[in-house]
Amino acid sequence: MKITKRIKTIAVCATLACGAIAGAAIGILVYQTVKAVEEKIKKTINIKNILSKIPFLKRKVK
Amino acid sequence: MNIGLVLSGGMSKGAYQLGALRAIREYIDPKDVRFISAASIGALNAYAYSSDNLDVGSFMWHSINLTHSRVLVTTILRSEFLTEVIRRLSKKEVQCEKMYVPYINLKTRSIFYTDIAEKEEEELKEHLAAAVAMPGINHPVLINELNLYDGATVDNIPVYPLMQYNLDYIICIHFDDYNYTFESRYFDNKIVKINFTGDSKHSIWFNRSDVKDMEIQGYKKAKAIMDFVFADGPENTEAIYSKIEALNAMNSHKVRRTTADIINDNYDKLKKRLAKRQIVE
Repeated sequence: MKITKRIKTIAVCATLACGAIAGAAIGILVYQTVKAVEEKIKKTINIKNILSKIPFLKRKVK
Repeated sequence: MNIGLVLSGGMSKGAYQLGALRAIREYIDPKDVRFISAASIGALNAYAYSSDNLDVGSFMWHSINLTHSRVLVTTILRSEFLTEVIRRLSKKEVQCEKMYVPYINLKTRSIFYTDIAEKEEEELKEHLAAAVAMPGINHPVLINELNLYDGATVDNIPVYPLMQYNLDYIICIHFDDYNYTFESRYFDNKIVKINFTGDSKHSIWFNRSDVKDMEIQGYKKAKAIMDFVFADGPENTEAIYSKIEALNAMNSHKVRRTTADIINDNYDKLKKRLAKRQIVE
């Protein structure tokens, strides 16, 4: 997945900039944050539910 | 020829449309306008145009007792003159094949477009009355056990029903100060847009001289655009498309019109992105 690649890039850049331990720590932190956000979205987003709540969204031609 | 006509709602600004339709009639025979979609006051004007009775459309504006002081449009919406216009129009037959009018049902929160071209007199009367039934001002009109209101409150420029037809071009008259891109670029490139911004207060607050001015301005502006677009005749579609392109380029303030379909499309795109990341199924 694209997002994992981006996290890896962030971790590599952080390693180059701050050293191995700090880099690994930043990588893990970003990874955990992204995963937590994804989990939250998975739990809360239900597209069908959202669509059904928007009035006048579906149009019919009779 | 397959020509479409779209008229938006705009309350008393409908007087602009009457002037514009007179100008259009000089270039295009109403018989050639086979598909129409119109909302609110535009629906009455469209019916008057297609049945070749623009004078009936004007009757309402010129009959009401408009003195020097201005009146609110609610006076018209609740007046006997509106009922009389609907009664007179419903006795006429339109020359178009389809005439779509949007309606909303507040209970189900849905919008739909009904073809009123072949309705019988009584049914037509109800449909025209529902087309101008403003929520909060008028009562809904009961049709087929549904309480219906004016659909212009949701879709004021109803180009959507005409997308299903392969039309040579569409003439669209609306009152927003935007150079809209309608629905899709391919579809949009076939639309001759005539918009009247004017003074927004004239939508709801006007007197007889305002109405006269709007009719005259409507005629003049539409005639100028028709002169430009139909310089090579109303049947030379290639020339018309290039003129539409030139008109769109002249007005660079382009805005994609947000309608329910566009929201739906964007939701689909969002859904695909989220599904790609396995966030939703």
